[in-house]
Amino acid sequence: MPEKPRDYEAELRALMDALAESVVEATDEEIISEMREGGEDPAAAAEGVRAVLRHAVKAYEQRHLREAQEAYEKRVDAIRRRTFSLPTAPESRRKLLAVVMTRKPDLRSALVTLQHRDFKEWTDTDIQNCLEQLGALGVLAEFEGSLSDEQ
Amino acid sequence: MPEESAATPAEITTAMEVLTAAALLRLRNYARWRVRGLGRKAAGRTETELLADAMNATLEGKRRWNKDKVDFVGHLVGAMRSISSHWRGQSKSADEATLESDLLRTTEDGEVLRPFDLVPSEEPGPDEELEANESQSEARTRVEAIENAFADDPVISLILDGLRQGMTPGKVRAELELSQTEYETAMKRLRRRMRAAAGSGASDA
Repeated sequence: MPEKPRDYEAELRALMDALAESVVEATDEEIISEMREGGEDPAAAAEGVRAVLRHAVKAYEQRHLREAQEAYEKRVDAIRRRTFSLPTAPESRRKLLAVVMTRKPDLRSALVTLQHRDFKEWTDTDIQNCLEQLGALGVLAEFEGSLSDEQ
Repeated sequence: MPEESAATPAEITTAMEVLTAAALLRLRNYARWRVRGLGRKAAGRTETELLADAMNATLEGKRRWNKDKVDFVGHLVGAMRSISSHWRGQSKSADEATLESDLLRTTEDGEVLRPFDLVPSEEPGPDEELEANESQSEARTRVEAIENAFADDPVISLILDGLRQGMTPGKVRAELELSQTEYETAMKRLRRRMRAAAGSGASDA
């Protein structure tokens, strides 16, 4: 019967694993002296290892913050990707903004404060800019049906 | 594991902060040998990543530390052993076996297809075969360098021979009738020379 070919990968793995397990059995003095023999500063090397572990702790503690940040970035990205087609006629745009302000009174007070004048006095450009900003903020998504010139 | 035995993140953090220099270096060296044993299967992953993964898994509760049964170093060693085994693809255990009868399918014509009829061939493609050959070739170079380096050390040569035959370290020690101290002394010699050789630029020995 032909001899089974050697599996060098398995052999290497077995040897390295045996060496790893031998480290578990080694005394503290052996670990430290082997480091010194290898020209390493045990204290500095040990603190390097602790830094890796501390980094893991920090990442764990900040996981909620990281998740919130990722969710926020996804939302912003989704809003940025959204395309709006505002009514082309100035009068339709004015009507759309009136609908938004009627259904979202909180926005009305904020917008009027921002513009420092009565809504009726807004120019077509003011309305256009305002609608574009509302679109970018995602506010117009629920007014999809009001975005056409027919409204 | 009883819930009350599983360490909390605060207990894990405290245990980490009080680790001695020797304990920290023991963890790093353990990770180093395990990753070196992965060869190409490490896929660029390092000892630092292995250690960090073990710590992350512990904090996240994926690998719970039973503080009543094992100390923190022992727990992290166990976690690294398990994670690195997973990396090398040993997670496909017999537990995952599926009954062939569960996989039988019948065509519209009533023909019964067996699982092997349904899946693509498991035969490695040319790329996989080339990769496997290169990996074996690299491992062979490393193994032979180690064997040559310790040819004049009868105890280590016998230990290497036992490991080559697939024996566990405990079995090797028993077969060679070495005391625990004799075995550990030989392994220490092996670690030192391989470490020195690696420091001088050689791959392993």
